[in-house]
Amino acid sequence: MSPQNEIFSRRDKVIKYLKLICACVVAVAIVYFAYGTIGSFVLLGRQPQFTLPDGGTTKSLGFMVQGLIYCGLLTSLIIAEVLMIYFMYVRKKKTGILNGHDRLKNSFRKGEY
Amino acid sequence: MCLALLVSSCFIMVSCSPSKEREITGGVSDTSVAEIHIYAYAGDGGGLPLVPNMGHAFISVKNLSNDSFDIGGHEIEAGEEITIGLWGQKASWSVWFNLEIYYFEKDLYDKAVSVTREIKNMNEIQILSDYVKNAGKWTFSYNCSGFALKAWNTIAGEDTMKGGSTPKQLYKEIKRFKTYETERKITNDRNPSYVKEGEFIYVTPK
Repeated sequence: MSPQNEIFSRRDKVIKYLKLICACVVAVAIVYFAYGTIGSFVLLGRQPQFTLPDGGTTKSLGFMVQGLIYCGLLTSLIIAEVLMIYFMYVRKKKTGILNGHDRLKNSFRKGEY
Repeated sequence: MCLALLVSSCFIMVSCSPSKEREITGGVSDTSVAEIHIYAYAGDGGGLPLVPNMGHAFISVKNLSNDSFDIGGHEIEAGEEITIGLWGQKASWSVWFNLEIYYFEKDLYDKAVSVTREIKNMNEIQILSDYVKNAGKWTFSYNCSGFALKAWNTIAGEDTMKGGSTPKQLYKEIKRFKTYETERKITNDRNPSYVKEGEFIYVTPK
């Protein structure tokens, strides 16, 4: 194996593990924020509720605000995960558009450098 | 190497040493007209694992005199105790009276801590009343603990507290007092209320 190919093979491994770590971290975060969103609304349900003179109801909105923040973070993470999967795998397979690392690797293989 | 060890051991000593304990200077006496309690609940045990509970902070005032007086427009009869807290409630993001009593009833504030101080005279009652009347709206920076802390500090004299922009910080601050209490519950038959355009709106527990 040429020294360049050895470097690229090592880089490929590093990139593969980095992608795996990223995917795991994002997956854990998604599970946590999903749990946090549901948990916040469960706690909101446990708060005492009161009836107003006009028949309406009132309760503390602290857990609702917390739940909405968690929900916002969850949505952002899901969007980030979808975009990541799209750019890393789907787009590459469908269109053949490569990232900088793959372009450089191919150029070396073709002997352009 | 020795220097590094010395610095790190000093850091450990400073970070592990308990914060200085405090004594209440204005303890309740026979001549006190009322007593003020400041409460902080840090959210312990009131939530689900890994889901934060921000807690709550509020004050309560007990009338020790033979006459009634009012705080923020809310009358307190002789011997009666009411709670006053700033809430982000759906109906009103402002000061609520006696709302915390229903949280005590549901055992949601079992782990709250409180500390007590005297209210010496009617002048202090008036100062506290004016503060409660003009307390304003709940915001992230001026929340329940900001309100409780400022209410306490308006009449606290040497027992003034620092910090406490969150219930958790106030909880730590209250625990510095030697005479802090846990599980001090308040009961009151009145329905919770808030003020809207100068009028008291009473709500009924569901």
